[in-house]
Amino acid sequence: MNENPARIIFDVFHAVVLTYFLVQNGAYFITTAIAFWAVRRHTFQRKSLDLEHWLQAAGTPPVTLIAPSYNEEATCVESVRSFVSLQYPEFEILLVNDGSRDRTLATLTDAFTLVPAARFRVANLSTARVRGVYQSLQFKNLWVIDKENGGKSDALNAGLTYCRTPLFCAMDSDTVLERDALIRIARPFMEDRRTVAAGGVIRIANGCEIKSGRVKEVRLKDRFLIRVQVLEYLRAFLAARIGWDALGVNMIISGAFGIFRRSTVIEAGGFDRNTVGEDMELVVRLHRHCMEKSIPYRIVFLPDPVAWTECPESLRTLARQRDRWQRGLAECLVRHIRMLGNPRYGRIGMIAFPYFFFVDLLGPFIEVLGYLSLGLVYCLGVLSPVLVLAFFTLVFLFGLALSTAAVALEELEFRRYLRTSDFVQLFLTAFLENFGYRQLLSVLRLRGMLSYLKGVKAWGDMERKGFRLEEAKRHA
Amino acid sequence: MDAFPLEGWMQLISESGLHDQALVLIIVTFCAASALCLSAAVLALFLRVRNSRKSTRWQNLECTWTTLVMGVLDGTVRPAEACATVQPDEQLYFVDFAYRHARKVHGEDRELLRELAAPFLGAVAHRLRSGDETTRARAVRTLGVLAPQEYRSLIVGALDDPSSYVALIAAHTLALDRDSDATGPVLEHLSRFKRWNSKFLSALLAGAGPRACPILRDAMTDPGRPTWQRVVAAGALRELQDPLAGDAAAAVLARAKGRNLESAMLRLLADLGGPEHLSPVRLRCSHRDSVIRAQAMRALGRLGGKEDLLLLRKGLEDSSPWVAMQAAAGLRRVGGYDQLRQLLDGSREQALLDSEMLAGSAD
Repeated sequence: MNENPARIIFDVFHAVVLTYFLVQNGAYFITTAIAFWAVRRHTFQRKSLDLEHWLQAAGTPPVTLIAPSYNEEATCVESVRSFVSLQYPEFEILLVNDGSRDRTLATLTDAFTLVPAARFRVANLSTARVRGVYQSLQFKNLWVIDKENGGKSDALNAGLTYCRTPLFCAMDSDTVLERDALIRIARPFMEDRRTVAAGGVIRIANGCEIKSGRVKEVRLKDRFLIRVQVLEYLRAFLAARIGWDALGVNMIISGAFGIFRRSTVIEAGGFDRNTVGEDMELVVRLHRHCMEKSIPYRIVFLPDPVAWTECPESLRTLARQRDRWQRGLAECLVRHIRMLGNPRYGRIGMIAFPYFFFVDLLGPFIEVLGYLSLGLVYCLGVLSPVLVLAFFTLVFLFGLALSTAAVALEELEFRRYLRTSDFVQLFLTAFLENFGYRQLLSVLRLRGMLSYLKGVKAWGDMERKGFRLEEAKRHA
Repeated sequence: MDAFPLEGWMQLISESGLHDQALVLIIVTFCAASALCLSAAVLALFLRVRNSRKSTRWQNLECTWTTLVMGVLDGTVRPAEACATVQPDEQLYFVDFAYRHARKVHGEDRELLRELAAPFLGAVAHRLRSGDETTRARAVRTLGVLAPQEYRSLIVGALDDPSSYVALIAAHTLALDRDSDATGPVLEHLSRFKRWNSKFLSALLAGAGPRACPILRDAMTDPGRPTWQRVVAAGALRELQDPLAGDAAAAVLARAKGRNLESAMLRLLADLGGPEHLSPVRLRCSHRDSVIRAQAMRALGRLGGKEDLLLLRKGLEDSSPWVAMQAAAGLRRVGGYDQLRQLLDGSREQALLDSEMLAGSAD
């Protein structure tokens, strides 16, 4: 009865850490298990539907690709070449030059014979001033909107004000879309008229061979930092998001590749210009908007439309990226905090939002403090070394199991990494990431939380090495 | 070798002060985690090996069959001989091979693939009794491409499948075969596809070809049908460019109420109507619903003449950009471009300026 108060605090905290660990891993296991079923079902359905065949024939809704671009003089021409070569019956490209300080506009003008053109705004969203609109004489569906700098959300909103098609695809200008990605991602809009948004898989292009805006050969780069991010993306997209989607609680569509119903997004107010996590914020707002207005809706994630993007190659860039992601998450969840545990918002309010709030948002505090506290009590001799060892072993084993399951999911249907050496490397990475990388991520996310609390708003440069740049050099 | 002997561990555990229950819990969790880990690894490895083997086998079969089909095409191999080379456990693979190629080719090539696959289609038809909807759907799709006439009754029967997904595949399969006789049954089952995008359903119905127009016109003009079905039928007639659809649409429009139906009729009139249908169109140019106004303005721009310049000019000042856009495009068509320029000289309002600019890029 006369227990030391410090010991009680430690015990309570460790109970919290243990609960967090169980909830987090439990959720991962549930979503992963569901993902196996969902991927299999999706594949069977796709084969029986043979949707690509019909969609190419008729009935596809026209789509506008909106790609914000900032200082991409070196890569913009290749990017646009890849966009114009997409397979889709009817689409427009709106490249938004967001006040680039380099020669992005001049380069595009030369490469695609851009001329000033008239284009009517069809929506009223407030954006930074548009300086001019240009149309290509070579590709009639290519337009460039030149505007003053206002950030990614502002550029997307500017694109939206000129978008005339019922659907638009928000993407990064350096994303490489697979040729049939648009056809595949438009499928839910065909199948169910309630669909307001759909997201696809993002894969890492570092190390892959890219030619003429197409991924010719998928390879793993021989650098641990990249391999481990490949594995992380497999876990996030193939296991987590597919699982969440099957449960009907999808809360994220990546800003690198997502397709939306224009009218619903405009009704909801477009992209939020005051956040660095505009992609998640929009999806959460769409959920909220539709539920508050009793609009029947559906937001889905699909495992087969694929977009390739470049991941950070240095720790410094990775740190900035994760800092931004964590701040974006915090901004979004705090802004929509009224959804937390609110039955009015259905499964989103009762399952997904609490999960993201307690596990993803507060998780870094619990993880980092948990590591420190366990180390401390071990050093003080308060806790049995057996318990400490058992805990870390379990963390390791669960982590390994989840990563290996993600590799199995990849093998189940997608099989992008055909080289045996890549397959082995993925296994090895699943083992090694537990010794340092996972802990580093916890620290980076904690740092992101601290940046958020300090009110940091900066986007942070990505410092892409530029697979397009390499390709552009080759062309030159 | 004996740096951390078992006795050492046992001693550590006994000194840890853990209760037996806690120890059991740790051991059980540890075993479960290890088992999960191992299962995931074995599964990944198994899938890798299995898929690699399947892929290799498939490539080999595909190579063999491609050579065979080429042989049949150039007359060096008889179809019966080619079929005889397909092993019993390869038959469904062969059907899949034939299906994938048949849907890419036409004429004699497709007929040849159908002939080659015909002996194995019984097994595919049997799959229509499967409990899995995706298997049934795939069977319908395969039969629709490889033996649409022989298995027509089964495909039409699939419109009543318990799964609406299978029913839709059946409907689409019939449409792909340009089976206009199937339009009636498909329309009968249209209520099962309510969730699907209406433009897509219109395209599906239009797939049956011009012979389906009368039945589609009946569906469009039938006030007893749900509005969304009439809209779908109107979309199909628009795709088929039915010359008689204009009169029917004008008749419907005279009595129509509601955004969806009125818009659909106006869209149809814009494409297939004539000047004689203008009066209900003009009426709707001042409708309070901007979607209807925009469609009316579009129709007016396409069907109207000089006498409609005033209405179109008024449309330029509409609060909805979509209406203004259609009005500008209409003005351009009916020859009001010069007037628009004159108007522009007298007014510097941004909306008008934008509209004038638009006239150069709309459509």
